[in-house]
Amino acid sequence: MIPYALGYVAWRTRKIKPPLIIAACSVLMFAPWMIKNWIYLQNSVAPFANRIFPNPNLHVSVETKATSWLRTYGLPNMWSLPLEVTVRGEKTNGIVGPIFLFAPLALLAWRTQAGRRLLLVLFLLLVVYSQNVGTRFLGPSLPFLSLAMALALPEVGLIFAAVVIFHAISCWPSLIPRYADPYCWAIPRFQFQEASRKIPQDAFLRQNNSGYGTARMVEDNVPAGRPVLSTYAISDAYTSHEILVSFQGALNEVLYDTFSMAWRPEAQPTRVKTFRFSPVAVQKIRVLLTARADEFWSVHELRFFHNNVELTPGPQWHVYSSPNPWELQLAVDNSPATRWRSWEPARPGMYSHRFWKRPDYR
Amino acid sequence: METSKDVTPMTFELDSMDNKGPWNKIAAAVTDSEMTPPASLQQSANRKLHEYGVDYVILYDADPAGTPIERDPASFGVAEIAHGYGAHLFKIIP
Repeated sequence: MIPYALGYVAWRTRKIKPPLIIAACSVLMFAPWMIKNWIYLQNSVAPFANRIFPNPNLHVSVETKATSWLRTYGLPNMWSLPLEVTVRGEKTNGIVGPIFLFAPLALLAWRTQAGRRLLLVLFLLLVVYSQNVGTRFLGPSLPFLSLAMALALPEVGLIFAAVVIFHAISCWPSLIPRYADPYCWAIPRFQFQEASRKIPQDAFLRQNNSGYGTARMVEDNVPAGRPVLSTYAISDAYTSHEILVSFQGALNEVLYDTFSMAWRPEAQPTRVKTFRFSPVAVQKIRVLLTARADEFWSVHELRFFHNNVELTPGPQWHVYSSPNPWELQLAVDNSPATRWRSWEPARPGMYSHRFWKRPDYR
Repeated sequence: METSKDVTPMTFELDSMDNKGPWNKIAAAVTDSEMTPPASLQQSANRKLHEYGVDYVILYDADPAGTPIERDPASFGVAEIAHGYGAHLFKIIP
C-alpha cells in the first residue's frame, strides 16, 4: 500500500516533497517494529523471510507451514472461499455477511473514475489478502468494496436503504446461527448481563473460553515465574506465566520434540550411519548432504572414534552446521533424547562440521 | 551419525579440510546399521527439559499422547497436578 500511496501522490502532485513526507510518516510507523524485530529476533521482517535472515528464534518450517495454511485455512478449494467468508464462517473464523455475495457487482463501478480508483486499491488489498484468507483479514478491503458496490447500484435511495436493511437484518446476532456453520465465530445474542458484569467476567470466560480456564489453571497451580510447555495456544493474557506453545518458536519446537520422543518410536535414535576411513590429519571434518529429500535432516548424535575409542569433545572442539547452526550442540550433547534438525526439507549442500582450534587433531 | 526413522535414508559424503583448505572428499566406507534406543529415553528427555528450566507441561485430550500419559503418568515421568477444560497440567519429574 505504501508504494501505491507514494506513486499516486507523486503522480498527482508532480513534486518530490509530498511523497517524501508520506515516506517519512510511513517509516515513522513501521521502523520501530522492524528495529525491535532486528534486536530481538535478528530478522526485521519476522515472522517472514527466515530463509533470507536465518535466526535462532523461528525455524523455516514454522513459517512455511503457517504461510501455506494461511493461504487456504484448510479449504478444499478456493472456489468455496466466497461462501465461507460470507455465510459459513467455520474455517476462516467468521463471516462478513451474505450481502457480500454480491461483491462481483463492484466491477460495474469501473464505469466511473472514482470506481476505478476504488477497484485499484481493492485489487491491491485483495492481493495481500490472498496470503491470509481469514475472514477478518478482509477488513481493510471492505470499505473500498462497499463503496465500489454502492457506486455500481442505481442512484435510487430506496435501493440503498434496502441493501443496508438487508445487511443489518442478515447479520443480526440471533439470525446468524440460522444460516452460518455451527462453529462460525459470531456473537450469538446481545449479552447485556455479561457486558454489565451482572454475570461475573470469570464465570463467563470459564464457560465460554477453554483457553481462559486453562490459563487460570496454570496460574493457580504453577509456582510463579515458571514457564509451561503447551501443545496448543491458550489465552495466555490471563496468566503471568510464559506459555511455550510447541509450534510457535524454535526453542518450543525443540522442547516438544525432546519431550515427545519417548512415545514416538519413529523419532528415536534407531539408525546409525558409519563412515570408516584411514587416519588423516585434518582441522575440519564435515558431513555433506548430497541429495534432496522431503523431510528434515536430523542427527541425534555425531560421534567420532579413533581405533574404536570415542573421542571426547573438549573445549578445542567446535561444531557448525548449515542450516540451523544454533542447535547443532544437540547433536554432540551425548543425550539420546535430543537431536539437531534442519527444520526445512533436506537439500544438497547442507552440512554439519566439527573443527579443532588447536592442531593436535588426528 | 545416529539418526531416526522419521526421515528417508539420505546420501552423504565426508569431507575434510586442513589449515589451507579447500574441502577434500574423504574416501570412506559407509555402512548403515540399527541401534536400540535406551530405555531411559523419557527420563533423559525430562532431564533435558529441566535443564532448559521447563518443569510443567500442558497436554490435551486431543493430543496423540494425551490419553496414555493421563492413564499412566508415572511411566512418562510426570505427575498430574490439575486438569479441566480438556487440558491436563503435569509436573515433569526430571
